Amino acid sequence: MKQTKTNRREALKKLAGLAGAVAVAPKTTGAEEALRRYLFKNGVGEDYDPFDHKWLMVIDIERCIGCGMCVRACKAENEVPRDPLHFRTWVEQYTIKKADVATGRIEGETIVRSPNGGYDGFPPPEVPEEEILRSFFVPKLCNLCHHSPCSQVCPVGATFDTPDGAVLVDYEYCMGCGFCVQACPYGCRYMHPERHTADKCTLCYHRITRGLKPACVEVCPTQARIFGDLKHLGPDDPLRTFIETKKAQSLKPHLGTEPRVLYAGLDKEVR
Amino acid sequence: MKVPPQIVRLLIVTVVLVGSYFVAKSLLTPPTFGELGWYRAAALEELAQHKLTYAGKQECEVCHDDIWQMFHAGKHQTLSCEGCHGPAMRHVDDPENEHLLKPGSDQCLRCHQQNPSRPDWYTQIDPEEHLEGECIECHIPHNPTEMPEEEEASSEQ
Amino acid sequence: MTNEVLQTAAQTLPHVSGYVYPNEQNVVWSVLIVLYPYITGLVAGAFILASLVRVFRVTSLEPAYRLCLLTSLAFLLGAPLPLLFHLGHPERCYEAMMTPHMTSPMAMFGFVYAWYLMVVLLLELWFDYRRDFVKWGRVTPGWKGWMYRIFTLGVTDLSEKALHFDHQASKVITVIGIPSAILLHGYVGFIFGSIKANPLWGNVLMPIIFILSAIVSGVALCLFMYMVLCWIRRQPVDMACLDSMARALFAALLVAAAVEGLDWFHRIYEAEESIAILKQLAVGKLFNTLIITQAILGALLPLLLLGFTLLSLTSFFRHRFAHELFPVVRRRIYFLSSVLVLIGVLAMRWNVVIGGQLFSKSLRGFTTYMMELGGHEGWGMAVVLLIFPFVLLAVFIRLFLPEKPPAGGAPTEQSRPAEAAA
Repeated sequence: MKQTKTNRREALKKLAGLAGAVAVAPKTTGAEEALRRYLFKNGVGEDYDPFDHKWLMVIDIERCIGCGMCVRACKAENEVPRDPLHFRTWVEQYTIKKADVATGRIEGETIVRSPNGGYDGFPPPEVPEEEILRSFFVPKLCNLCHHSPCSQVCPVGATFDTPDGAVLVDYEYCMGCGFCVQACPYGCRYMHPERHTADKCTLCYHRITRGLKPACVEVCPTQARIFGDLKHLGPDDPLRTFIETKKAQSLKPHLGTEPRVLYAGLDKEVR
Repeated sequence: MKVPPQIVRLLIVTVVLVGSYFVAKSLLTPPTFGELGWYRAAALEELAQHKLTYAGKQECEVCHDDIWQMFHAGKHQTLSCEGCHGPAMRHVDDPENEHLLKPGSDQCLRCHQQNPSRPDWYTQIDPEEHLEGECIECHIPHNPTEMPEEEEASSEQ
Repeated sequence: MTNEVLQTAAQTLPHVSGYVYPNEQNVVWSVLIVLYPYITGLVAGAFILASLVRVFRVTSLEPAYRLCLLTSLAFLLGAPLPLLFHLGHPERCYEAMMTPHMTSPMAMFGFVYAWYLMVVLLLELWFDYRRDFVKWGRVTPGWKGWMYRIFTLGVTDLSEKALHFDHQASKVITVIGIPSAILLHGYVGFIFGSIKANPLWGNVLMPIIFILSAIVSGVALCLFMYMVLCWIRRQPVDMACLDSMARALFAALLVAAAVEGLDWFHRIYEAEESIAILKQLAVGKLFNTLIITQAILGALLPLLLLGFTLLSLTSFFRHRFAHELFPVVRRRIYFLSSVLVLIGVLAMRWNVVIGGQLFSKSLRGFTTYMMELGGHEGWGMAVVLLIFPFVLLAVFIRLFLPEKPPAGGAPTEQSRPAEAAA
């Protein structure tokens, strides 16, 4: 029984490969050939055209339950150090206390924490429940800025915005000066302790180029993370629905980085 | 007018230095640098070759279509198999020898424990008030609103 | 699982207070990046002091002219080392020259550095020294003689016309050199000032503050080195020269302190989003280095000391009290002031570089810089890298600033700086 299943799986895999080849083949002819500027082989040996995609992730804060699965998946998928000091993505827990009436303020103190980046999930806030005005989780990741300050300041061109919407680090070329870490307003970069280069969210570039979702999106149980391709948005694509229906904001808009990662339901206290 | 000897010598030195800079530049600039932008275009392909750890949900269906069908009939359909069972790529590559986790109740509580930070729409329980025992005694994780049949529950253990 | 989670939450890492983004818990730019702008600043400052002699004809500084230039050169050669040792991949440093990313202020480092080293300092020194190299090369035996002869680049013409050309060229280069020195350090300030992500750094005044503090530290270093050199060689100090340097130091320090004060005044008055955390930083984590060391010991105290001493040199004071402060007292005060200023500017670099990384860009908390003793970014390395330019300078002084001209060498026509001091 199991044997036949495995065989079927392999057969399906081959079929999928064939279908991929067929889908790619007609594109390589005629005028489109001229438009195509760059092709490379993805992880399964198929041609991938970075100019044919524009990947994007958006966040629906109302759906995040703070399970931290995304943090775990990210660390496992991308060889992020397991210590509590390095994260490509992490989750923050915001707890805003009720205001003391005498102060006349709208709200009290804001407490933010991210124990081990949310890797182990979150306990309830330490604030007693009756004192909580509101509390919520915010997943953080590379903001995929339109005007990314990190790639702006890289002295050698080792970090860059790709045509398909990711911001990557060339680990073979990065000399490890750390300037990009300083330039990122969102704290999304770190120096990799073993590679001695900068490291950051790649949108799971090795996955998205193979047609898979980023690891964090894959494991998110509530679809708080919505991922899609702006150049290939189907009519019912969750990304399309999000863009068309949600009133979303970006983080630190005053810095003019124009993050492409949008947050629906973003609280003013989130920085 | 005669050019001072100082200038002549310095010009020679300058030409040698600037010349060697351009020679070095042409030798040391990596091959695909600048093809797409101010970076090594080959880096894209290199980064795309990184190995997978999470196989993706669709891989699971290939063999486990029975569970898949039950799963997609229930409230947990938005979940990823690998969220609870852990990364599966090694299992996909070698299903006979590499096995996945069978998560316990702590995995359920990771998401479903009562927490004021969680949105109101989301199902949460207080483990002290909720019925005692392991979650799977009353819930089928793949379709949590269904009660497990005796047989299945015992074979799970 | 819940217990496990509670435990992790309870173990908020001890060096963090409030909330910082997880990746900010480690301080990325270490003490070596503190040294880099410090040393570069000394280069720029020393050169600008030297330029006072050539361009602005402050002839009283002539005895220290060559010392200033050599100091500038020694520290310039030491400046890239902290940067290099800090890199995660030092072997890839050449990339910054081969594929410099034009939108990055740091990519300009190699070019600004090369320009300053080759076109400004070395050329200036070459034109200034060529006559001496020719003469010393003729009379010095062994490798030293060879070295002097190579340094002439084969131009041995010592005619009146050629020497006149040297002098003129040296002047022209100094004129180019002043903006270059300002560029060299202004660009270092821009590396920090252009980081809009960091409210302590991202500030249009940053390059100006860096230039001014560079001049302050460079003048202080030259004053310090001049006194130390005279002391080692048991030579009398040229008081006129020393008074001039002290005047320059006082003026530069006054302007630098005023602009830095303006920076903080402006921040506090504007009271943007970040001011709360910056205030906490200044009176908390940076209290010792910012308020005590940089502001009080490094600026206020030397300003008072120098101010009163220089006041005693004015005709008004002399008229009243019939005497200026005794030279021996002045020397001690100058020496003390220069040391205080040098420490104060080092503290300033610390406050910018380390201070800028101690608070979170979420503006909600602080981390701590935990400096190791050993390691390639620890105390030991920092001390070595800070001492290295002094060692280099000692070598330069032995080779190019001899107490007596090399044996048998004819005395130069006009008295040369070091000899004037002798």
